[in-house]
Amino acid sequence: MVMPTERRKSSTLTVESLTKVFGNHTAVDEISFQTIPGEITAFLGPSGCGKTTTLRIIAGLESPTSGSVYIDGEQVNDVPAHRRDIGLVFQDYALFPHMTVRQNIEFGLKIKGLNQQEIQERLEKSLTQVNLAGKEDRYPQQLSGGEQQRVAVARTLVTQPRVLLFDEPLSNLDAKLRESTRLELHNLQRKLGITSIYVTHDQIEAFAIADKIMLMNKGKIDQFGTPEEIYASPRTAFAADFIGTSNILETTVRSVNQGICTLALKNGQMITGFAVGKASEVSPGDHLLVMIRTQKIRMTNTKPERGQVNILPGKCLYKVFLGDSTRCLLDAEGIRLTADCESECVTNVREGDVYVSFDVSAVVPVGRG
Amino acid sequence: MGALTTRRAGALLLSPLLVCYAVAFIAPIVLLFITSFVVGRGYYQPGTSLTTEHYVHVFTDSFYQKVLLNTLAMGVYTTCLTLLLGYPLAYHHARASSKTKGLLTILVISPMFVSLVVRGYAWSIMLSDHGVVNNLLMWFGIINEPVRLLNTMKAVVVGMVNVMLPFMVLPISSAVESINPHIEESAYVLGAGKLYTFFKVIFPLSLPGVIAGTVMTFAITMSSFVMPALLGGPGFQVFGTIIYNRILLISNWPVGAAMAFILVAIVVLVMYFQERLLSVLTKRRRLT
Repeated sequence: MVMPTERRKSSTLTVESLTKVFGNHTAVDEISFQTIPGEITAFLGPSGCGKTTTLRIIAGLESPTSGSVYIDGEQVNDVPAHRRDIGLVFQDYALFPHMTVRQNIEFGLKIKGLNQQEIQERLEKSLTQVNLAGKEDRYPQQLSGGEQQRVAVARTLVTQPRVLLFDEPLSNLDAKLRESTRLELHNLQRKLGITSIYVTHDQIEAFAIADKIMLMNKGKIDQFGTPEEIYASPRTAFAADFIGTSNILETTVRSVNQGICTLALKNGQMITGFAVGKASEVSPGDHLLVMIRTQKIRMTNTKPERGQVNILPGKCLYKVFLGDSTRCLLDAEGIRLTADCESECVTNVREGDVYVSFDVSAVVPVGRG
Repeated sequence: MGALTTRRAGALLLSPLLVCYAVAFIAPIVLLFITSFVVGRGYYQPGTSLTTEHYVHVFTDSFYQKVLLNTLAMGVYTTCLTLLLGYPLAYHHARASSKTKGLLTILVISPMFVSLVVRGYAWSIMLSDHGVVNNLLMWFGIINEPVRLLNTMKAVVVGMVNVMLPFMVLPISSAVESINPHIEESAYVLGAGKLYTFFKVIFPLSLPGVIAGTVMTFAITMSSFVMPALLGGPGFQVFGTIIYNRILLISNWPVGAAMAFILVAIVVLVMYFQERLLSVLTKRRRLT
């Protein structure tokens, strides 16, 4: 009897000062990072930020201009794609249209030279895993988009790759299917514990599926961390702007005192924030960019209680009811702010003169102006 | 009503062309077809009696059998060689950057800018006993005496490959171009080397282009006249040259006509099988 193939230990993927130049355009610029075995790392960023190029270099489909890729400590720069032992799921699935589902899934196994019995076992197991049993004799064109996507995943998983790469695997599915498929993918990856890279431009998708997020901008790593870290303390204005919805304000430091800094807005109004992160090494007169999440801003008709800081008089220009929340466009004496308030709290707030307030902790320094 | 007017206008616009076609193309062919059944050597006149003896003659006479075999061999060799030489070129053409592709396209179709006759004479100089090819082979010591190339099938096939290459390269290139590059890359990442990927993925997916190119090459080569006449001469005769000889030189219209229709039948048969093969291939892939 053939022993059921045990999945080996999860692999570590390391990338060291990876650079890729196309002509006079630097697509990937000195990128270095390391994944933790078994985790999903999402490459998140706008289109053209270099995330797909980085993925293609890891896959061996593109060679780096300089820098190295290591899998389990072994440098794989000169290992061609077909010997790297990795898996790749494309956005357009790229199934072999002239082969049935079975032939598509068996493709990688036959190359590995497995015996017929093991091929059969792995085929059946993977068909059950992705819920495609009974459809093995269909051609890709006879399947729905979601089913084709699952064949692409199964075809990759059966080969038991060391690292699994996803290039926007859900963006061709409709919104509802995308969410359920994302959950399935997440569960499957958790169960198998294969170190994975997930390229996406959709922050919600990245947050939902990834253990770590590598936020990229213009070929460079903008921030690398857990989704919570990146959401709560974005380190740059780009990160603050790209992740979630936020207001980015230009300020000038007036004073720094016992961990509290007082900042002047462009209209002369003062706000107060904690002197953490980028604000911990500023001195009066410095310019500082701060971020305030739209959900952290409150809007009231009456002035909030005495003693509270960060209260700005302003106008509510208009309100958009979105269900649970209401989006309010505010003008605080020349400074435009967007606020997402709980609908219940602002139903009675009229458009017109209002007070805008937020906590000291809501002011997150994200960069030097 | 609008649609009807458009359709009528369309028919009206087409009618001059249809008349030209009927008078200049279909009528002569019908006449030639009847001529192939005429008794004796003249062409059809009302009242002459008809026979199938010319067809029987072409198929049973050993001279004509030899010519038929020559023609088929020329078609098969030319098609195979053109495919072998044309496929790599087509693949590079399909996957080239748009700048290189423009240049390659011009290079591929450039032979068509030069008249067939000029190319035929050029090759006859190159391939003669003391021509460039023989001299080069002797220079390198590959042969000691000139090899007879002119007036053999070798010369004709060389000439025909030169003529047919664009007809092979362009359809294959467009078939390869329509293959999603991610499919090829998926194969690599799944562990397939270049050769395995080519034979299991690229080539099968480019088959529609390959079939179109080979059938076109075969059909045009089978009915070619200029290259066999200039490079094959009396030593290598094919249907094209014999039909010309029978009709224009010795005025044996019925035999020439019968040979012409046998040639048409062969080509039509090949095209029919191509159609069947293509429909099987596409049915397998695009069933909904």
